[in-house]
Amino acid sequence: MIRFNLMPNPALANRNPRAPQPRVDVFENDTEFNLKIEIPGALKDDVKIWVENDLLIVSGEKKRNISEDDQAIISERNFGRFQRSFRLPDNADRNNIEAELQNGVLVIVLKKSAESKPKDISIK
Amino acid sequence: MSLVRWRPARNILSIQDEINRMFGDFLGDVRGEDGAMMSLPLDIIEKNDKFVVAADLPGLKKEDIRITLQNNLLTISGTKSKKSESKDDAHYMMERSFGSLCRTVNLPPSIDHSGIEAEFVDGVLSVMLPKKEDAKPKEIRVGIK
Repeated sequence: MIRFNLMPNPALANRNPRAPQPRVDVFENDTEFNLKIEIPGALKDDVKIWVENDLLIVSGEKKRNISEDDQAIISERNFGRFQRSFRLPDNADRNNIEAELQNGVLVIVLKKSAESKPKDISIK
Repeated sequence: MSLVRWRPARNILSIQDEINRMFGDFLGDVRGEDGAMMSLPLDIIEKNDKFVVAADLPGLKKEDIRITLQNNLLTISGTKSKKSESKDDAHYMMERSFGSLCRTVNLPPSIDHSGIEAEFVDGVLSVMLPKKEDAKPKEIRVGIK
């Protein structure tokens, strides 16, 4: 099979096909930042989220639930340790971060600090 | 000579596996390029009394998933919608993919169709396919005279 000779993409460089980094969407609205990280099958207790300097770090493990007697016929799903880090913007309130696991998606909500929210200024 | 356990489902599933591998190799390049997931990754595990088909479906709800069985084909399909995010939001990273997903698995003939069950927990769909009574491994004691 002919493979395309692609230039290495630095964003994908640390991706091992068997233990890839979970996929993430990050977006913001007027009041908060939202991070959605896909970690299907990971349990709440296996995921750790912390803030270190200006980084929000999410790490954890997806454990394979298979016993010795079981025979894997097809295995395409990824298991193992994962970690991703995100640089926090200046206006993210480090003390107001909430996380929740919803159907295999880790949703992290970072509130914006009060002074950075858009303000309507009335005309005198 | 070593004894190899006879697994009637193996040959049938291995054809599917071969096809998946073929397309997987091909799609692998595409996937590496844009970071988007093209298909729905599956595991098929054979246990003593059943097969388990497990699929990663993060972000879907139970209602978004459809499992159908026609002839001997088990089809898992679903739609991952993005409607929860408003258009005004500014995106910084968009690695997740949305849209329709579908995979079909050719089942071995030894499956008891009436006993198929499915559950969806933490974004992982598991379809349990019990084996027919006569396909389960049995222990036969042979007396020695």
